[in-house]
Amino acid sequence: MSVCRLGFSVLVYGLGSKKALLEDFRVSHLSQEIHLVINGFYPSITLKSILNALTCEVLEHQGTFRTPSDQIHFIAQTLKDTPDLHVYLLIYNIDGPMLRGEKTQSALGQLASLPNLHLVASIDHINAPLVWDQFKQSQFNWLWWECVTFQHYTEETSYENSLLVQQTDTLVLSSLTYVLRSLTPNARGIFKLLVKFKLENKDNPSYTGLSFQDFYQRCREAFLVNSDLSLRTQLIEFKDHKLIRTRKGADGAEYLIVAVETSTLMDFLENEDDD
Amino acid sequence: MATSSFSRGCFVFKPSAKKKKMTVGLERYFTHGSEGSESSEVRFKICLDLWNKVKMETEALQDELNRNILDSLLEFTRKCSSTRDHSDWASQMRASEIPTAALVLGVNVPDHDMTFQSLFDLLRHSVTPHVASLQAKECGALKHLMKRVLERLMGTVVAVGDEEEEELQQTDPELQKSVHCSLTALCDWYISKTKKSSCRAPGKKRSSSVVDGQHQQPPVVIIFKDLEAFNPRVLQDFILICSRYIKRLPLMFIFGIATSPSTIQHMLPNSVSSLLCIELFQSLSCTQHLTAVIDKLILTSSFPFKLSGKVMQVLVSIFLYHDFSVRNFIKGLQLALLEHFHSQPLSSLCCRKNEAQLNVQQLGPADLERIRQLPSFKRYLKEQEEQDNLMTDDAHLKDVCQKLIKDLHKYHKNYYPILRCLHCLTSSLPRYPLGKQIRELHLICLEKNVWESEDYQSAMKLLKMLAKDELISLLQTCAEVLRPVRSKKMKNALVQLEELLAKLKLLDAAAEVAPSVEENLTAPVRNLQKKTDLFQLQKMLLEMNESRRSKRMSPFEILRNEAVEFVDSLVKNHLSLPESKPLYEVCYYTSSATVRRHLNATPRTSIQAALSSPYSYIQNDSLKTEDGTVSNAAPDICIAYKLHLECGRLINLYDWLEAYSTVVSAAEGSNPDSDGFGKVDEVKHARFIRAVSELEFLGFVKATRKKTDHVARLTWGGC
Repeated sequence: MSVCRLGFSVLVYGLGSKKALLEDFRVSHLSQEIHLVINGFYPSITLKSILNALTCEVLEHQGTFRTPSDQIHFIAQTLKDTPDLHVYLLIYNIDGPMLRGEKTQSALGQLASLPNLHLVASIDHINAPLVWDQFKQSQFNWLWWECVTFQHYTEETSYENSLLVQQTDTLVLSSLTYVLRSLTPNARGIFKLLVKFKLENKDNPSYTGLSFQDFYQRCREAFLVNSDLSLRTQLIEFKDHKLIRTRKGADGAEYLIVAVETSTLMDFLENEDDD
Repeated sequence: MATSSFSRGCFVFKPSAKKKKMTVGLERYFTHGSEGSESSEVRFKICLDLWNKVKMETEALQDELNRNILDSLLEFTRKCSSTRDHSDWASQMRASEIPTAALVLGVNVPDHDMTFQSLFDLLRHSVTPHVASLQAKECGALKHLMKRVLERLMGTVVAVGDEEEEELQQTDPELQKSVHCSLTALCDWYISKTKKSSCRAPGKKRSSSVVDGQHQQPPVVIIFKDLEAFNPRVLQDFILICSRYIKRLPLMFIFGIATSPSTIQHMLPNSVSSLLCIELFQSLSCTQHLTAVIDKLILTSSFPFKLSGKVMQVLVSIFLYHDFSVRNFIKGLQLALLEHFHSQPLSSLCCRKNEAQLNVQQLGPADLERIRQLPSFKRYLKEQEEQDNLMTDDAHLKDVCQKLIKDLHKYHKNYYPILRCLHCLTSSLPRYPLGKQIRELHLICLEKNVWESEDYQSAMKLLKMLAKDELISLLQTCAEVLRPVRSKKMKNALVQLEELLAKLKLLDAAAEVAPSVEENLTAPVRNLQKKTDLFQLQKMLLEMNESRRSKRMSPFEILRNEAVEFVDSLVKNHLSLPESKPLYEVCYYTSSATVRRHLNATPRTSIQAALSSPYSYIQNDSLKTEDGTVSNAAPDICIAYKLHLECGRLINLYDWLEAYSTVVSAAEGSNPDSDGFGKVDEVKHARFIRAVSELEFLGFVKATRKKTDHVARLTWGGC
């Protein structure tokens, strides 16, 4: 704790799940402090959710921000104005699959370099230190501690699609982003249209999906397709990736349903808007 | 657990406001784990003092070292703005190019921040208020770059405290949203700014005409902090656009370059770089910076905390082989400081001499016992006669300790000036026997007695061959080094040195005694002309050699030998090892392994060591094995890891499962001949799946589509 207060960030590494160890630390030392726990291994964690948690719940500011850098700037300013406020950030697996991006790491680095914000994190992947370059490393100011526990990674692996267990039908955010990034911009536009329509009708209990004709009309208006055939080809591709399902409606027309949960879709849309 | 959930990744915990908020200070954390907690408040105070001192000194040093480069940059900026007004052809031509300062800073990127910050402030205060500083990561496209430039320039209004100015400031945020993002808008804004200040000119008293000119047309400076990271296309487009506006807007660029000036040629084609008028500025090299830092913080007797040879070696090697960053070196020094005060209860004596004397009187019995146990103190005891007295009488021990602390301080006071003298004398010798930098000499002195090393002997021999003027200049530098030291022994040494110097200078006046030397030489040569056989010739040459060696040395040579022996005696007296002094553990931090573990860690090695030999972490006898094999009582993940190492690039999961269950059955002790041995049952299957998922999580394997039911290995070689 003294090390944290003096400007260093603590990084814990070693074989075995360090979650229990860090939980102990949290309960024993941080119970009197404002702290934020982030599960880096959670496949739907985004930078935005972390920053929102910081601004809304810790700093109690209800406004919204245009870009993450604005948000970070606001956080930095507020913390500079209140030097007595110490916030602790406890990140399990800062090398988690959603936090590995360059933007996320540099944002976290900026947060870590604030004097009032103290960071304790753990890493597990063998190539994790590659994520940081010289500049980020100096922003984080890591002090490395080796803590080998040999405990099983029960929580961390419970989210991943295991190799040997049957693939479930629901997709998580990371896989959704990955699949869509490999498609053409037009395909992405088409999918977004479908998603927006679903989100508009999410509270509608009699929502049966978008009919094919309707969908084709909308895509034509948005200049995303120019013929029936190309739209069908695109839809076949989505079906292969298990992104949509089709059903024959009461009037015999095809209805398209997105096979992903609403919350995941909303996160996905937010991410897409940022990029 | 409160922090696992399927739908959320982020959890916020705030302490309830009802509980009385204990303001836990930093002090409590420090005393909480440290040894010898009686004196921990004192130690903590000293530690914090020294920490702040380190910070302040490094900042002051940084300012001082950067002063040269910043001054020359400011000169350049001022010159650019003033030449614009001339009307001769050369400056007209120059006026169509954008003046650019290319500042080569070095690869230690983390250290550049402070330099740029001070540059920014200086420019703001003395040359122009219109300065914008850009980082590559915020300028991915041309429009972002433009937006940042405009925001930073127009948002920063000159704070003159005028009413009109404040009004403009308030309307500025709204203006920002509606102002079109282009340089025309910037030009208009600039013109309105300069017109305003020139309108107010008649009312104000002008102090000098130079200031007058500047206020008319202050240059607009844009600093590109990390040039190599910018997208070349974006940069080229920006420069092309700016060069069209150069007549209306006095722009100036500063490029911060980390590698070498040729990056400008790589990034910008000739058509673009011809629009710039580039001038190169080189900043201080990082090794010079490090030398200055070491001088200020380590090689000085005013800083009581010292590093032992090994720790210093670790820090310097991290600097030289990893990142060239002085900031990380300081960080390592601070870490060593913290660890020392945390783990060594006697470090309350590691402070200035007067404070240390006071603290000795306040030592408790536990601390006095610790002193008695110190190895250096035990060695000291052996040399004393009244051992019993020291072991039992606390007050007497305290007096002795006070004397020892005083001796230690005196030792340090004499050590550093002599070290610097030795460095002056030997740093210019051919092949640098004692190192080129003073830190190398310091490391040699910390490891062993320097006069016992062969390098030292060869250095002394080389010194005995110096020419007179070189010797005089070197001895004069030594005298300069010794002069400011306020210590009796150093003053004596200085007096002796000055006598030597005076004698050497007087030699110029006396006539050389050359002819007598030549006479001696000619006699043996005549003998050689007689006829002899091989054996006689050999004998005669040996005799000649002997006579030449024992010939009379010239007065200069006598004086030279005297000088070298004098230096030798100083070194032997004062440059002894710190470990030979009693109570040195109080000031010296020796645990280099801790520092290395915290700063220079290797997580992958740790994981692989834990996987291949779990015995090193879990001290269970059943896990002891020979090298290369794994005991079947090891954790599942270790067994799976070991088995996967024997496979090639693609691993068949079923085979792996079979091998795994065989090993695990053997561990369970079931009969190898029984039917159920090696069969895969539910539990083993589940354990195997868990182990493979964990290995995938760690990054050793990954799923592959190349073959069904196979996984790809991600690590190769001996690992």
